[in-house]
Amino acid sequence: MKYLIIGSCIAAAGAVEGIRSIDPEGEITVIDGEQRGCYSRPLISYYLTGRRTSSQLDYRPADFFAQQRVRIIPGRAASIDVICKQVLLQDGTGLEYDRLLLATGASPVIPPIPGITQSWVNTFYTWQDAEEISAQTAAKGTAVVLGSGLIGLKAAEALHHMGMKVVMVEKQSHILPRLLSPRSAAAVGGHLQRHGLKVVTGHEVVAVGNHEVAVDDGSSIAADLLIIAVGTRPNQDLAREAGLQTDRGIIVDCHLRTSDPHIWAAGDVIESRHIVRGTDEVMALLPLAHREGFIAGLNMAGSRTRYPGGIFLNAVHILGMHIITAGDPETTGSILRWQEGERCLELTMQGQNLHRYIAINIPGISGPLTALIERQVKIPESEWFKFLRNPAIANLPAAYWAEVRRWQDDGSLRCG
Amino acid sequence: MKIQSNSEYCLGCGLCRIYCAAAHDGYNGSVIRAFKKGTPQARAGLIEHQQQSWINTCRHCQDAPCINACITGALQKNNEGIVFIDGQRCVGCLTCVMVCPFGHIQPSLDFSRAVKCDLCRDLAEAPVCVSHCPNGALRLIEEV
Repeated sequence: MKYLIIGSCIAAAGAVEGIRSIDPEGEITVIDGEQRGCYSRPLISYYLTGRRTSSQLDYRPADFFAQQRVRIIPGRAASIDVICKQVLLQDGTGLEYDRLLLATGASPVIPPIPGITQSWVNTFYTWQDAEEISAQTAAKGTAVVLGSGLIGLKAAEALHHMGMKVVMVEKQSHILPRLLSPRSAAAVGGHLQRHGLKVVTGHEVVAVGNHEVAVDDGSSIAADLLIIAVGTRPNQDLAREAGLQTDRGIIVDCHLRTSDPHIWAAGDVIESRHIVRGTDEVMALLPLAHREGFIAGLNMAGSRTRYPGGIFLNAVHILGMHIITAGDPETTGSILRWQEGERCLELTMQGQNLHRYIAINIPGISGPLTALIERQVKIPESEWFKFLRNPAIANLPAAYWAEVRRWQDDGSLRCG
Repeated sequence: MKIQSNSEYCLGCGLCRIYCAAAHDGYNGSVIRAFKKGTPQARAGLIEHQQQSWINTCRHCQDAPCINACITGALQKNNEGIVFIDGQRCVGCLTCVMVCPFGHIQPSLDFSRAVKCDLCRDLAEAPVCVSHCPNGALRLIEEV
C-alpha cells in the first residue's frame, strides 16, 4: 500500500501514527513544503523570546519520521491527478499513491489594506516568519499587531518580552473576540495594559505607509514592525483544483474522507462537525488536527473509525495570565459567574446544558467542564451553585461524578 | 496500569497525597524535607463527595486526550503504558489540563508547567500512594 501525505505538521504526524498502528509495512511518503520537518506552530512565540531554541520546536522527536519509516520529499505539491492517482510537485516530479491525505493546513489572511505588502510587514505563522521577525526586531522600537486573536496575542507578548513597545489594533469591540465575552475581555485587556501593552479596539487600520500605520479614526502610529494576525484560511486550492468538494474548508465525511474515495483530509484545512452547534466549521486547533490526522490515518489503513467532531477549545497564557475557554463562542444563554480578584469563571448555560466556559487564572477545573460540554451532560443551574461558591474539582455537581462512573462502567469514554 | 481507588476503604486521610508530593520534585521521598522546607505538590486530588472519599488520579488512558492535545509533544506514553510529561518539553500552556475529562492533570504551583501522576516510574517499588495507604484502599492494577 502506498500512502502519500501532503503536509508534514500536526495532522501528518497524527496520520503517520494512525497508519502505523494498523499497517507496519505500508510505504508512507510525506511531502514537506516548508522543509522544517514536523514542528509545532504555537512554539514559534517561545522561539522568538528565546525560551525555545530552533532545535526545540519539534512536535515529535527529531528522528520521528525515520523511526516510523517515512520517506520525506522536500517540495510543494502543484496538482493532484485523481484519475491516475498521482501528485505532481512544483519541480515536475510525480508521486503515485493508493491513499492520499491532504494535511495542507492554513495560511494567514492578508487583509486588503493599501501598502500592506511592504517588507516591514510580517505575518506570524511559520518558523520562517519568526526568524524574519527576530532579525527585524529592534529593542525599544514600536510594533503594531493587527488583530487580537491567539496568534496576535502571542506575537504581542513575545515582542513585549523582547523590549518593544506594542500596540494591538482590533477591529471588533473587544480583544480575543472569538474566545471571550466582553466582560472577560475587559479583564484580559486590563491585564495587558497594566503590563504596558496598548490595546486599541473598535478600530481598523486603513493604510500602511513607510513605517507608519493609519487608523480609521484619523490617527497614525509610527512603527518599526507590523504584524498581521487577523485569522487564517484553509489551503484548499489543491483540493478545489482537483475537483474535490470544498466550501470554507475541504468537505469530509464522518470518516474524514473527501469526495474522492482515495483521498482523506485532516487538520486546519477541513470543515468538521462542531458537536455542540451541530454545524460544520473550520476549527483550526492543534488538538483537533492531531486527532483528525490520527483517525484519517486509521481509516486510510483500512479501519472504519468515526470522527465525532470537536468543539472550539483554547488554552493560552499571556504575560502570566492563564486563559482557558471551550464550547460555542457565539452561544447566548444564561451566564453564571464567579470572580475572586484576578481569577474568574464564566459558564454559559443553554437550558441544562453547559455551552461554554471561560476560565481566567483558574485552569485546574477546566478539564471536567470541557468534558461536560463535549458530552452535553444535563445539569440544572441550581446544581452549579455549590461549585460556583468555590470552584474546585471536588465541588463539581453530583451529575459530573455520576457521569464519570458511567464512563468507567460502560467504557463510553474514548479513554480509561 | 493505573491506580484503583476503593471509596469503601478510603478514610480520606490524605496520606497518599503527602507521600506522593514527597516522592516528586526532587524530595526523594523525604516528607519532612518536602513539607518543612519545600513547596510540595501531590500528583493526585482527594475528592470528598456525598459521604465518600477517593483519590482522583490518572487513568493512564489507552487513547489519552492529553497526549493527543499536547502542543509540544511533552506528553508521552512509555512502553509500560505510563502517561508522563517530559518536563523539558512542557511550556505550561495547560492544553492538557483543559482536555483531561477527569480533571486529573493540574498546573504546577507556579503555573509554569503541567504536572500529573507518573505512577512513580522512577522508583523501583510500587507507587508510594499505594504502599502508604493505611487502609488498603489503593491498588495498582494492570488493565486500563
